Amino acid sequence: MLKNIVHLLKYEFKRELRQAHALGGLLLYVLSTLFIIFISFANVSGPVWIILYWIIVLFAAVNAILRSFSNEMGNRRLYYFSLVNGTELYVAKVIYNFIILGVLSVLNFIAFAAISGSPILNIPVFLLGIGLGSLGLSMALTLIAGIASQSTNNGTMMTILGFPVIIPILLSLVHLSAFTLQTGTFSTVGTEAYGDIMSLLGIIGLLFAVSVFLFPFLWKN
Amino acid sequence: MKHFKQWWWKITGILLLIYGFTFGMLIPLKPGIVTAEPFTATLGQPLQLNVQGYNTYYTTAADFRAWLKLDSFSIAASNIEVQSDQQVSLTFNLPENLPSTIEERSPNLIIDNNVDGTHLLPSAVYLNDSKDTLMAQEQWDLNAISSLNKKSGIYFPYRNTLYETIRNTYFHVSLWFAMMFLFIGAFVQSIKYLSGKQLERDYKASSLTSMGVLFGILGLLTGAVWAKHTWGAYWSWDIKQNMTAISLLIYLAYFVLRASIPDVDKKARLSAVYNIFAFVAIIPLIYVIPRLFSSLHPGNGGNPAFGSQDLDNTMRLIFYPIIIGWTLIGFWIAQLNYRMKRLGKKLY
Amino acid sequence: MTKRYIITAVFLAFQMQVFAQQEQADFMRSTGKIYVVVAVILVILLGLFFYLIRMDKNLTKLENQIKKNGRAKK
Repeated sequence: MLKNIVHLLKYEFKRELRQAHALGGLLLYVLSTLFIIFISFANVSGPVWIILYWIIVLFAAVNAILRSFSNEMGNRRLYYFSLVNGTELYVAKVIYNFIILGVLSVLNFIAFAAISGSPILNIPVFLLGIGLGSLGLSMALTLIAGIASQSTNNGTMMTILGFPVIIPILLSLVHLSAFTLQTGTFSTVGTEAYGDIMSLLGIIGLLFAVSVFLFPFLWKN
Repeated sequence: MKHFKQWWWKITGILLLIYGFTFGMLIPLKPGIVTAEPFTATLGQPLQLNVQGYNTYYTTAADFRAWLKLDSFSIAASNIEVQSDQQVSLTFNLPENLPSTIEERSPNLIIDNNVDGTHLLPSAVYLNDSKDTLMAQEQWDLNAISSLNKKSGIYFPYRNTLYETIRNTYFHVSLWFAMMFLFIGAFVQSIKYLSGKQLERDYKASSLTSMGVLFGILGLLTGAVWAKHTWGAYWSWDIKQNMTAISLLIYLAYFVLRASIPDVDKKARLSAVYNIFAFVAIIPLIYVIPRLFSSLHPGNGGNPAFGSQDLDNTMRLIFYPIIIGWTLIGFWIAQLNYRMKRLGKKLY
Repeated sequence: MTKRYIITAVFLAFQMQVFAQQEQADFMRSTGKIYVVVAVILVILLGLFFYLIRMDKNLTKLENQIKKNGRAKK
């Protein structure tokens, strides 16, 4: 089980490196969105900054995760099916998407901070938020991408099915990030944001449990 | 489903709804106080309060008493002039000072008589300090309010700004509960589909979901009408309004997904997976997220249900039956839809 | 067909909005806001009727197919 997951992960990364232009495209998307935002808003206040940040991450996540499925249609899918089971594939995909999203969010944070300065005063808690956010988004969206990639016009389906589902995660993330606008040690801010962290963990756990159960049904016909 | 074509549960649904609608509309509200004017008064001077009652019978009442009450201190009305069933004029000789330990400046007005029982208006008047030093003889009494009358019979509670719309608890709130039961039904059918791959399960799941979405949309619309006349706007971006709108979006996406897949079995499989996922995804929307934000809805600060203030025992006698009634009727209409779909498939 | 309903509904809602701003506000708030309860019940009834009409249409479609082909078609 673990061996298969590691194999799948290795394969995913190899494929990603082979198509480095796609990853570059995603980064370019983040950068150009940032530019548009800061050309339109001269000054961005703390709460607005946070909301814009997470919305950009959200769109990047939708694109990135849908892309990880678009290569696996038709015969290749059948071939996979003979090699691994659905749960392994799901776990591998979630880990892979989590890493990609985490890297993307951190890069986005750096770019955001470089362009407009960052109002975030408590970076460790914010990084914790990024970690939880990437995990939650990759879990929810991996299953949705699995559904969307099998329907016609999957780009639209991905947004229609995905956006409402991840709103709880997004709201908790925005709520959690609002605490990082103040100074304080990791533990003091952490305890203030304890409710948000717990609710995020709860949502993530719930989504993981149901997705692990459901993904194999998407996988085999 | 053993009771699939039996009538008993459908009849039960009808009877429960008839019961709920009849008594939900017929049972009167308890007597209450709509307004008391003027809104401010000066300490140390006589105050004449013109009180507007609701569902009261002041002219037939005897043993009429009234108090202004601050914490456990109170002052009785010195003169009571009943003008009509709903109007009474009360005179209070206000003491010169507030009770020494009290910061609060808005006393509650309490009226008691043998016909209407005890009813009160919270924070009836605002007491200003006296400008000239008058020597008023009146004093605040401690524990002067005793032997209160109780109105007998069956009544719904009276709430200011809600008034008769408290009845909407039965017609608006019950729809949400029925919606959740229908979604639970669809969730169960979706799981059954995935384990058995019978198309009938898929038809059942989609019929139940569609009925649940109807109840959800009706809940949203009725909520908007109610909100307009109590909160002042159809949509006030309240967290619970937003979250329920989002849960409906999740379920509407279910139908978009179904429409976008031509193959019948694939459609059934994918939509069953999505239905299960959607049901799990709306649990945080309803039970977790509202805890993080403040809301205009009752029972907020985390509690998705009500406190004892919002639903008393008389209301429960109507509220729970009407929930069951809507649920049964919902299942019935969904079943008709399902039987139609099944017939279409059989004839094919 | 559906488009026509939607257009009618939108304009009706607009009309009601205009009314509401003039004098209906007082009417809705009279006699203990009981008309708000009436409006809520009307909304529920209209919603159920709308759903029934939709089901009726689907059933008619099915019947017509049976009449035409001697069997139903998807």
